[in-house]
Amino acid sequence: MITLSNLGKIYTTDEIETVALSDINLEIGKSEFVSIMGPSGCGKSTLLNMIGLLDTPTSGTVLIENQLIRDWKSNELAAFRNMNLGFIFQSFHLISDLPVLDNVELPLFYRKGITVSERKRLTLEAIEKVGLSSRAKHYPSQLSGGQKQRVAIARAIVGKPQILLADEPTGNLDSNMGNEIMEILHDLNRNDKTTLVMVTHDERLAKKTNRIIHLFDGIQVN
Amino acid sequence: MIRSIFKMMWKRKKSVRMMLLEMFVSFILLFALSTVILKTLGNRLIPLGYDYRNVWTLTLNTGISPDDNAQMSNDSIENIETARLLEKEVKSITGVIAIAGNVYNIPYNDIYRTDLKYEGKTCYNVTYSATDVRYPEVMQIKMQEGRWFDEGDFGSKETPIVINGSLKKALFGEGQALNEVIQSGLYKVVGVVEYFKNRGDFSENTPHFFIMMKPGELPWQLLIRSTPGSGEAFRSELLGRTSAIAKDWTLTAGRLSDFRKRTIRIDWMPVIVISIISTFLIINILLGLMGLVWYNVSRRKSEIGLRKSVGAPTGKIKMQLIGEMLTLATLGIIPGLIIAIQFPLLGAFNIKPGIFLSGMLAATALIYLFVILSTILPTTIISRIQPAEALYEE
Repeated sequence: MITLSNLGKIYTTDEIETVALSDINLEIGKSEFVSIMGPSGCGKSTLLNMIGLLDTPTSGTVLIENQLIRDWKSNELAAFRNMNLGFIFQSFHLISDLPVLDNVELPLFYRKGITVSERKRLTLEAIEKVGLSSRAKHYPSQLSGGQKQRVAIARAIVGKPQILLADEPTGNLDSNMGNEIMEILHDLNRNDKTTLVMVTHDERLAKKTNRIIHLFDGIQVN
Repeated sequence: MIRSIFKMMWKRKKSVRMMLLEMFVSFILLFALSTVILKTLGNRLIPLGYDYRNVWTLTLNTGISPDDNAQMSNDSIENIETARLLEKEVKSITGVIAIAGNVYNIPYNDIYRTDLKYEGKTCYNVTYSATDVRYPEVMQIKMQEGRWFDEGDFGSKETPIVINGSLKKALFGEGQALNEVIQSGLYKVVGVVEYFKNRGDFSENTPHFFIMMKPGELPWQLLIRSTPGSGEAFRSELLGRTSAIAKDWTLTAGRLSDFRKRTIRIDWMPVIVISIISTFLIINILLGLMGLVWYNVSRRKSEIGLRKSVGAPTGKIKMQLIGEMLTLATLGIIPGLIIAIQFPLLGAFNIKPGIFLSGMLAATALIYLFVILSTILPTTIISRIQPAEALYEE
């Protein structure tokens, strides 16, 4: 499903080169739940961004769904992300000026060939799935951290992507709320056969996933 | 998209208040400027009604002011004889085509005004000139109705007058003006000229009338039509030869084309002043808008990153940001339009409603143009940013 070959990322600023990722080779199968662990600054989020096509690698290739992602234009990448990938971030990244309904609907807003009624149906379905139907008209400021993350999950799954990428989804939540979120992610993996790649610091959560990938200083150590 | 933009605007209503005020002020300012310019330019399209080119004025100052209540002395037999000799001398100058005497206003001069009454109607501040039978030849005036006054009018019970189209409309509407007696039997209309813009090219065709000079009345000016190309040599000869006859008088020669230039400068002065002030304000507004857009998009970098991550194409993000600014501009313009529409409804400043409406249209178009100009650069830069960079920048 996802194949990374000899993937590398170097950030260059003021003639200083920082190697964020070096020679990553990785295969993630369909319906797998993989977690990426490692100390801060080891390149976990950078790796997730590469898989999510949010950033471009300096070297190597990314293959998703048998499609080699190389030299794609920004709008081609955006369309691919829209159809195939869902993102969950540590800081939720909800648009504070829009209610839950509109936040969740956002990916469908950019999808071609979808009717307004279909958009509405999928949005309500996703909100229901994360148990927030009663909060659909609320604004993010009116929600708890756990509820915000559930909105972010609903937004990530609304377009029914095959791959979900979560960057420390429980990082800003207490353990109870974190458990709730993890339960939802496991449900999605088990019931919907969604492939999940999660960056986490929490070994307890990582152990519940199918596989753990360890990174250290941009290098894959297992 | 529009629904989403309105929702966001409504939620951000507090933070965009300042921007709305800025849009409103810009609109009012641009509306005033556009209206003044359109009115001034619109006036230029109205025919002048006479030909100012190659017309000289020779002002005759006998040294006795009419304010001294010395009209009798001014119109003394000696003075009249001197004026007759002067005219004779001027006629003999090479290049002189025609001469006419004039009292009160000459073109590009509107000091002398009066109110005229006819059957309960009053037309206020009407400019007037007293002149003689030769005036149409000198000023190349074409009659629309009736005739210019002539020697046959001397001794008439009512003083014959020729009015312009504007005065005709003010006093008689669509009715007949010829042979009507106005001002309690003082004047009788013998002719109508459609246009005579006494104040010049950029003024309206305001009400004006010509009275026939009384027999034996000393002209204040001689209006002289010369052949094209008469310049400083003509002026010198004119002044030299006439000063030799009227030794005690002060004679001044001028060209209507010079008076015209001066009047145009005066007419355009308010436009220039408003334009300068507006330019500074508009530059300020443009910079302010750009700053606000920069601030707005920088503050929303992570939102833009998020939109890109969920699949927004660059063009849609640009459209979203520009759309938001245009919505904001529209919300600022609406109260401005409500105020601006009162002017044509109230018939303010005697300006035609069409000019006010064009002013509103121009101001609206300019505001939208400024918004697009000030938004396009920041939104282009921000919409090209990598989503990862935008999402992880705090």
